[in-house]
Amino acid sequence: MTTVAEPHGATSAAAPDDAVTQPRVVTPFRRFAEDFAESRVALFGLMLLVGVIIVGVFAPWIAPQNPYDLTDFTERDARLPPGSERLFDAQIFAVSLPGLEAGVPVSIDAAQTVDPANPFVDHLVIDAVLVETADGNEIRLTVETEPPDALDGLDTIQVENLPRGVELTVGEKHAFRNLWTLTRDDLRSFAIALPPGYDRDVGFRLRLTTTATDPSFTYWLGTDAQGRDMLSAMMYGLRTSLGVGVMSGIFALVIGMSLGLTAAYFGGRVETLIMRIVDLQLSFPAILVALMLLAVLGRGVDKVILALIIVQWAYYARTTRSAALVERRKEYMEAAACLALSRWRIIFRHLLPNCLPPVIVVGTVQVAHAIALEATLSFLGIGLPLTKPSLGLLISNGFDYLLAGKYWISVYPGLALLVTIVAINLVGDQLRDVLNPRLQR
Amino acid sequence: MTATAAAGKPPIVALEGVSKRFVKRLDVAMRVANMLGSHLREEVVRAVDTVDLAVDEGEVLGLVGESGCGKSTLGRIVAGVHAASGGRMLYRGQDVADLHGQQARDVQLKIQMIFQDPMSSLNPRLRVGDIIGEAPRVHGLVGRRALDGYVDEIMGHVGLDTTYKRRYPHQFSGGQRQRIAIARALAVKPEFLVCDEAVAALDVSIQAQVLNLFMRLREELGLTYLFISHDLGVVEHLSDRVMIMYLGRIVEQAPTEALFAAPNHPYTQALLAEIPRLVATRRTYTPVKGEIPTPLNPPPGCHFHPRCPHVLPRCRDEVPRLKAVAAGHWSACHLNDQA
Repeated sequence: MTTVAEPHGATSAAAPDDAVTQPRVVTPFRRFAEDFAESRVALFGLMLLVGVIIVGVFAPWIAPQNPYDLTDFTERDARLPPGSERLFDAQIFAVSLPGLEAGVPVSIDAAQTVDPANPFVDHLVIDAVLVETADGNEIRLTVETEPPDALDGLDTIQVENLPRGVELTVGEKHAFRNLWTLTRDDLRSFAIALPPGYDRDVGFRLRLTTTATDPSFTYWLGTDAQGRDMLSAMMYGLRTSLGVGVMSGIFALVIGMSLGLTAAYFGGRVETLIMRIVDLQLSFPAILVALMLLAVLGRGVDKVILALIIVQWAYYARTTRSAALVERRKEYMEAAACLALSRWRIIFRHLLPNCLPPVIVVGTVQVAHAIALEATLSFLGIGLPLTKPSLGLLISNGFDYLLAGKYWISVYPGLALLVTIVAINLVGDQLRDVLNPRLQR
Repeated sequence: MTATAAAGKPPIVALEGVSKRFVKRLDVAMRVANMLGSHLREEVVRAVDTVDLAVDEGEVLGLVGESGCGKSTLGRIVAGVHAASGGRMLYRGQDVADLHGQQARDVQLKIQMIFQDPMSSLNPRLRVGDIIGEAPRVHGLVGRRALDGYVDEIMGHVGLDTTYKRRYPHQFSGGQRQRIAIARALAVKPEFLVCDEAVAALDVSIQAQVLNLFMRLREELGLTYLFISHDLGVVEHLSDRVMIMYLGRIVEQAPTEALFAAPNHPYTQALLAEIPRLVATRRTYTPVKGEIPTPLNPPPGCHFHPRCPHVLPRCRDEVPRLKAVAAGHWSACHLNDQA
């Protein structure tokens, strides 16, 4: 990689062993690391990149919420601005009134079924009595809460899951759902009207919601239209984006390098064929080729990776070939031929390792390019499926709300994408400077 | 017509009428242009033009010529790096083109090459131990367990400290690198070494050490050398016999002493006149006229005639043949016919 200037050189002509005094041991890697660290900006980029990669890789363990778990978020939290606290979940009490006899009052202690930790209403005591009236029976209910003033903190009180044909005598029915909204006073004493001849048991669920928020969980970057925590969604999105970018980069590198080495080593018609395909490939804009491929292949992580490989291999092939052409003419290749080493061994053990530096540089930049391309495709709605949200998809989701002032749904994933790509490019640029023999001092 | 007629035993390496042409073929655009009336022709470089040579076992044959005369190409043909485009190469009397598989590999290993630039002739990404040990291990010359000791032994042979085995080539000086290259060649137990300007890239003090190493190895291992150089001083010091090459052809060959004492060919005379001497007497400096002509379009007849001070009319169209001017002294010059 680099020639170490040897300050001592050979000692004396007389000694048959030109035993050079030990040169300062600077391993190639150490030299490389020192050169790299010379640029503060690049170091900053490297730190950013390491941070981004850590966040992406460990997202399932560090994200505050699992954006794939539908039970983990509710629509009530949708589109909350950054810094909002999570609303408490609704309290649901299941009430069943089995075997009521006319005129015999029954007292029920209704248990809370969901989220027992909710602190507002401990439990409800419901007194019910069946009353016979002229146009069918009625169940009259009085509800008391424990603590008594718990209802004051409630926002809405709803009754759901009433049996078919059964109606409340108070409250407002939802336009088409079996859902009744009551006021606090309604709840204290209301009645259920049973149709004539109704003889089955009556049961329903009481849903109490509150506007109070949970101070233990804050949406630092707001929530999206499904009520998901943006921060968690971005961490998972970063994971997907990085994964797709790196996977496609590795496969494209392997394919492109093999073809580039083959072209450079064998030359002639093989080289012409491969390099003309490369030229053809590179003459189309990458986004256009990817669009066409995905239009044919359909959506899916594997398909996006495949499309990115097809778009990118040519860059690696061209870079590898140009590096290999230089290396192939060096004398160590002739020496290897002289030692009757096999072709396979010469290509992969002698030629390939010496072609790596420029390919590494192209690789870093191409991974950034792949991530941007994947985000573009997802933004256009032909990339990753909705079940695998990447940064591009998150940006796309928030785009609809941008003009409504709900900037955070789009802007924060956009910033994450920007930081990722800038970090990779900073590192890639410095790698190019360090590995470029022409710039070496 | 081999110059040295070693009685009985065939020479270790012999070339018979070997040529090497490099052809730059016309591409499609040029062929289309030709159809439309232009007169583009394939460019052919005759780097080596029907060369005969024979090297006897244990001999050091020096090959001298200006840069671009084809001596490196000739060396690479002998070492099996380039294939000749014409002629035959014999190894101990056997045509190497007839050999296949195992036999071909064995002959390939018997002839090794030392290159000019020890930096580019060593793979920069392999450790010294791997550079030296790779070929013997791959070809099964030594077992995996014995390899370490074998590499140590070879390194000791060429005067390298065995503790440097885990280092990379860039951590060594030029002389040490050339020793590594020599060790790499020796590791496959060769009988014949082609040294292509093997000391030209080294400091003068180191040159002497490496040359002495070559001589020591010759005695210890009974090696035969084809020593290619443009440095007449080095060749005089080292060789038993010297060949002078000009634009792909051999113009003179003779035992070293005979050649340096009585050079026959005008080109050889001109070369010898230019050896720098330590005794700085006042002498007129008369360089060979002009540049070496381009091998793309060499002059007809004797290639040297445009620069020759004794040029005759027949030199312009008749190629001179190598003819004996004394015992073992051959020269290709029409002047010899006149005497």
